Amino acid sequence: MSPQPQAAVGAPLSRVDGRLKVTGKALYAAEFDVDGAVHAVIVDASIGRGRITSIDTRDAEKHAGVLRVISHRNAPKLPYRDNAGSNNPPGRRLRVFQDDRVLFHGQPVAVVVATTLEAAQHGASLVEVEYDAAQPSTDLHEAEPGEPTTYARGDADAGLRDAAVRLDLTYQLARNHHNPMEPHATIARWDGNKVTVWDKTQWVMGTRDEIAAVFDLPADAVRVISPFVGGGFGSGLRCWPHTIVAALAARETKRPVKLVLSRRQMYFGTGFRPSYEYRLRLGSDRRGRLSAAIHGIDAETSSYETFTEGVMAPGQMLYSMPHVSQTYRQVPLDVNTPIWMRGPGFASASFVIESAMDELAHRLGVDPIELRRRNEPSEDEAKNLPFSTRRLRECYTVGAREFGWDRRNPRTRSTREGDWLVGMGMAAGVYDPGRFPAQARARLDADGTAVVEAATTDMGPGTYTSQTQVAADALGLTMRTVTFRLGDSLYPQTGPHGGSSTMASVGSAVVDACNQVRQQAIKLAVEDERSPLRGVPADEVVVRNGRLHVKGNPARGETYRSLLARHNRSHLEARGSYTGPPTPERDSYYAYNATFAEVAVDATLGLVRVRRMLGVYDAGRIISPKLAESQAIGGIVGGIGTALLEHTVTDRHDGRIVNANLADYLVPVNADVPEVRAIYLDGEDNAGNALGVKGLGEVVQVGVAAAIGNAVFNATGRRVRELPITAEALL
Amino acid sequence: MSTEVPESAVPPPAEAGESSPAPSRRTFIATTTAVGGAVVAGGVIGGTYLLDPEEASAADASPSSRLSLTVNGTRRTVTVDNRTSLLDLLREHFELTGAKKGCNAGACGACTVLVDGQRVNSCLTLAVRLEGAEVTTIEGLANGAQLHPLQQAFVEQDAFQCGYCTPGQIMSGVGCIKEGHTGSPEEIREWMSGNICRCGCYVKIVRAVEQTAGRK
Amino acid sequence: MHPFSFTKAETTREALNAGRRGGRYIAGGTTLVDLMRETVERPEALVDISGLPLDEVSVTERGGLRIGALVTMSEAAAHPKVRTLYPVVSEALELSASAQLRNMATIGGNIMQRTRCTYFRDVTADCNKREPGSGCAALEGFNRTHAILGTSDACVATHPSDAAVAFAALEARVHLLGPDGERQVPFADFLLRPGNTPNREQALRRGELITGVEVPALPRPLRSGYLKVRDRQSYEFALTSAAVALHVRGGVIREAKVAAGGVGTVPWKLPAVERHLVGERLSESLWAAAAERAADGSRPLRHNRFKVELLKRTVERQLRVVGGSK
Repeated sequence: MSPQPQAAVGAPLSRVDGRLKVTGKALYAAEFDVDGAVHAVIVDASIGRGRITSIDTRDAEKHAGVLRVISHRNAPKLPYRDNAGSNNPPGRRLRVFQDDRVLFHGQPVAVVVATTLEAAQHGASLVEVEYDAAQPSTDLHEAEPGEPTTYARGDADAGLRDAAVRLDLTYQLARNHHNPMEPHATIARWDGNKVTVWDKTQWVMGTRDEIAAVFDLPADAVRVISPFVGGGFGSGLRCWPHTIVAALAARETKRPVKLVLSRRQMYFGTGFRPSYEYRLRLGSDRRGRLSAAIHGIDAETSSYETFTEGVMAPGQMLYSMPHVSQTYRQVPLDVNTPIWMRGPGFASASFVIESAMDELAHRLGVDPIELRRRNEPSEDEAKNLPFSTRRLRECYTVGAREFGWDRRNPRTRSTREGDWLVGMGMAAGVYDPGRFPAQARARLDADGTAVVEAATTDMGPGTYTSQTQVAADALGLTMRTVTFRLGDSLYPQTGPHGGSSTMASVGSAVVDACNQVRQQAIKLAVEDERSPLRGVPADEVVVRNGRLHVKGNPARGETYRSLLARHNRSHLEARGSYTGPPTPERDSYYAYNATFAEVAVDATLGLVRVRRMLGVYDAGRIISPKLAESQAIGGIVGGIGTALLEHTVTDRHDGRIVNANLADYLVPVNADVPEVRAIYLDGEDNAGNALGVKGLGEVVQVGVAAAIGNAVFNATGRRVRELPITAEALL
Repeated sequence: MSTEVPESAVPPPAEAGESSPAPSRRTFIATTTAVGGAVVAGGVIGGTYLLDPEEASAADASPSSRLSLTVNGTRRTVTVDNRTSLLDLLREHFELTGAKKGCNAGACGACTVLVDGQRVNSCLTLAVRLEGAEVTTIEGLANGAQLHPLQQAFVEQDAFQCGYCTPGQIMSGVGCIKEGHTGSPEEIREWMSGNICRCGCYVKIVRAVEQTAGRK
Repeated sequence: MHPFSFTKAETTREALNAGRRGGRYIAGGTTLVDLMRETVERPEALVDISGLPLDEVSVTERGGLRIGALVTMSEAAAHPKVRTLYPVVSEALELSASAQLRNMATIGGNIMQRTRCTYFRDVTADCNKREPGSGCAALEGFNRTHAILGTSDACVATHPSDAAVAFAALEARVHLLGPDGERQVPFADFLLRPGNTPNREQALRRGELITGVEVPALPRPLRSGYLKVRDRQSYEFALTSAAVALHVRGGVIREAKVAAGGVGTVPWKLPAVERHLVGERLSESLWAAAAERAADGSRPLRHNRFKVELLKRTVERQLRVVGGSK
C-alpha cells in the first residue's frame, strides 16, 4: 500500500484511548458540561395508533423546576426540508410535535423541560394525554405487504421442480434491538441561529444535515460533536426524533437542553433489526449440488417509512446455482422504523440459508462443510464479476482444524454428558462491506508531531487507534506522536461509521492525506541544498520515527523537526480523500467467515448453553489485530444473543413493547460466554482499496446464529426454525 | 436540585441526623384515593397517603435534604432533592461521569461503584441515604497517574470496546476480587454477570480480572 | 419519581412511629426505588430502616435459623450457618439478581419484592394489582413469564423471589413487629394469593415491620438445594425453579420439603409432591412419579403453557440432584 515501513499497522497495540476509558474520563454525549444546561424528558404515546384528543400539562407546569412543556399544541411548525443523501428510508419521516397523529406506541407526544433531571422526569409523569385510540397493526403475518423487490436468474420454478432433492422451509426471526450500553442522548445549545449538538451518533455529518433540514438551516449553522459513542451496532446511523426534540426544546426555552433517552425509550425512540418470515425452497441433486432456490422474504417496516437492508445478496452469491428467484416484501406496521443492526440483512438471511444448508447436508448424509465446498462458486453469479478475494474454503479448512470438527459425530443426539446433549455446528458468513467517499486532514507540526482529523466516529471498534496506526506509518511517525481526532462535523467529511466501511473509506483518506504531507516534506528536503537528502529521488526517501532517510541507508537523512525548523515552517498540511469504489464495479467485494459452535442442551430442561465458539475470517488486511480480535469475539457474542436470547416482544393489543428493558430483553451476560476464539486469515484484498482491508465489524456476526442452531440440531436432533431458540422449543 | 457547598463554608453539624428534614414538616392524612389514581398496597404499609390539602401547594417543590459523604476521599456536603440517585448525584452534580447510566434500573451494572467498600448499583441508591458513606468511583481508583492494576489489565487485555460499561465492569471487578470470587474462570463469569457488555468483551474481562486477582 | 420526604429511623420505635403515620420503610431499596422511578410506587414519606439492629443471623433455641430482616442477600448467602444448615437458602440467594444487587438488597426486602410483570411495571397498562379494577393486561397479553399456579381472573403475576421459594419449602416463619407488638406468621400465610384483591400482597398490618425470617429446625441429616431454570445463565428471574430439602434415613425419605418458583403467584409449596415422597425408599422412578404432581391445578396461559412440563421436569431434576439416587 505504501513505500513506507509498516511499524504500527498490523501490530497488536492497545487502544490509544484506553486510559481515558478505564479512568472514566472519556466523555460521552450526555456528559459534556454545557453551561446552563437544563433537562428534557420525552412523554411517549401510550397507544399504538390514533389521535391525541387532549393534553393537560397544568400539573406538570406547576411542579417546581419545570420550565416548559412542548407538544403539538404549542410547538412551532418545523420546515422538515427533504434531506437527500441521508439515511432516512423512503417515506415521510416522523415529524415531532407537528400534528395530533400517533403512529406507534411510544412516539414522542410532548417534552418536559426543567431545571433538574428529577423535576423533568416527574413533570413528564404528570402530563395527562388523552387519545382516540385505534387498533394498531403490529403482526408481520397479519398485515398487507408492500410492493416486492425481486431478483431472478434462470428458471427457479422449473429448476426446483426438476431437482432430485427439495426442501421447503420457513423460518421466523425475532425483532432485535441494538441496546448499546450508552442510551442515545443529545445536548443542544443555540447561539443565535446556530446550533451546537453533542449527540450519540455514528454519523456526525448525517445528524448535522438532518438538523439543518428539519430547521431549514444552512449546514454550516449546525455543529455536531460526538467524540465517544458508547456502542451503536447501527442504532446511531440516522438522526432520531429525540435529537430534533432536544434542539427544538433548546430553541424554545432559550437554554441548552440535555435529553437522554431512558432504556425503555431506546426500544421505540431508535430503530431495530426487523423481524422476518423467510421461506426458502431449495433444490439440489443427490450429491448436494444446488440447482435452484426460491426465497420468499417478508420483513417489518413502519407505516411511514420503507426500510430495506441487504437481505437478498447472500441468496444470490453465497453458493453456486443456476436458478434463483427472490421476493423481498416490506410489511408496513404501526411500529417505528427499523434501522440496520450489525450484519444487517446478511445476518438474517444467513440464519436461513445456513440452517437450510445444514438441513440439506443432514438429509443427504454429507458433511456440512463438504456440502458447502461442493457449491463454492468460481465467480459472483449475480454480478457476473470475479471475486476480489474469496477465501471461504480456507476458512473452512482452518476452522475445521482448529475447532476439532473431526470430533463431531454426524449422528444427532449421539453425544451425551450427564444431563447434557452436546453438539457441533458450523455456518458460513458473508458481508458486503461499505465504501463511502471520505476526506481527512493531516497536519505535521514543527515539533514533529502530527494531528489527523476526519468527521468519523468510534462506537467501539477502535477508530482512534486504527486510524492512528495507519496515519503513523504513512507519516513515518510513532503512535505516540500522532493524534487522530474524530467526532466533530467541523472535521473533513466522511460517510457513516457503519457497514464495516470506516477503515476502507476513512482509512484510505487518512493515508492519502498523510502520504501528501510526507511527500511535501520529502520534496522540501530533496530540493533543499542544506538537507542531507538533497538530490535524492523522492521515491527513494522513507520516513521512520520522524526521520527522513534514504531507503536502505538510514544514516543519510534528517528529522521532520530539523527540516521544518530550517524552512521556518510551522507545519505542513494536506487534505486527503477517498472517492469510493470504482464504478462500474470491477469485482465482487465481500468479507467472509466460517463460524463454529459447540453447544450443550439440557436433555430434559431444554436449556441451551454455548460451550465453545470459533470464527475464522477472510476480512482482508488486519490493521489492528488486538482490536480486531475483540470485535470478532463481540460479534460472536452478539450472535449468541440473536440465536438464544434476543426477542423484542410487542403486545398486539396496543402495540406496547412489553420487554423494553434489560431485565426482560435478554442479551448475553458474562456467564453465557465461555470460550470464544477468532482467527483472521493472513492476507489482503488489494482490489478493494489501497489499504487492502475488507472491513470486519459486520461479518463477524453473520452466520453465528445458524452455527448455534445447527449445533443444537446436532446435539438434539431437533431443528428449530425460529429465533431465538428457547427452552420451550426443545422440551 | 443539588447545590454543593464548599467544605470550609459548612458549619459543623449541630447534631446527629441533621441531614434529614424534620418529619413534622408534612402532615399526612390517610386516604385510599391516591395520587394519580394508583393505589399501591405492596410494601410494608397498606395504603397510600396524600398531603394535607392545606399543604398541597408545597407539593410542587420536592423535599430536599442536607447530606455529607465522602467521594473518592473528598468529603462533600450537599443539599439533594430526595429523589436524586447516587448515580445522578455523581453525574449531574459532581461532574463525575465515570459511573454510567445504562438502564437506571439495576439491570446492567454500568453504574457500579463502591459504597463503604462494597460494589452496588448507584442507580438504585438514593443519595439521601448516604449520610457519612464512603463512595469510590472509577475516578478515584487510580493512584495519581498510576492506574489500578485492574485498570491496567483492562487496557492490556483489551477488555472493552466502546468503553461505556467499562467503569462499571472495573468497579465490579474490584469488588469481585475483594470478595474472593475469582477461583476459576467460571466463578469470575458468574460473579461478573451483573455487568452487561454489549460489545461482548466478556472473554477478555474475565482474563483481566483473573490477571489482577492472580497478582494479588 | 414523585416527591417524598425522608427520615432515617435510629431506633425501631422511631421506625414504627413513622410507619404508623404512613411512612414507607426502605431497606435495600432495589425494588422500591426502581418502582418509584417507574411511578408504580409513589410513597409520600420514606423511612430508612437500614440502621436498625436487625442484621444478625443466629441459631434459634430450637435449632432453627433466624435471619434478621436487614441481613443483605450476600451476607445471608455467605453466612457459614446458612451455608451449612440450609444450602438451599444460600443457593437460592446466590442465584438471584447480581452480586451488586445482593450487596444492597435485604432478606426482608427480598420477600417483599414485587412482581416483574411488565404490565404491573408500566403505569399506562391495565393492572389490577397496581390499580384495582382496571383489568389484567397480562391475561390476554404476553404472558410467557407469568404464573400457572395460584392465579385468578384478576391477576397472573409471579412472585419473583428465589429466596422466598426456599423459605416456603422450609416452612419458615416471618417475624413481625408492629404498633401492637410482635407476632409471627407462617410463610405460607405471609404472601397472599391474588384472588380478587391482587393489590394485597402480604399479610402485613399497618405500620408493621419485618424483623426477620426464621427457618425451623429440621431433622438431620438434611440435604437441600435450589435449581433455577432460566434462558440466560445468570442475572435473570426464574422461568421455573425448585427448592428441595430431604431428610433420608435408612434409605427412606422421612421428611420432604419442596416448593417451586417462577410458576406461582406466590412461592409454590408442593405438598402433593412431598406426600408422595415421604416414607418412600430412594429409587430412580420415585422422582418422576413425585414430580408428576408438581403442576397439579395449573392454569396455563397462551405463552406459558410450556411451564407445566418444565415445572415437572425442574422438580424431578432437583429431587434427583438432592436425593442423590441415580
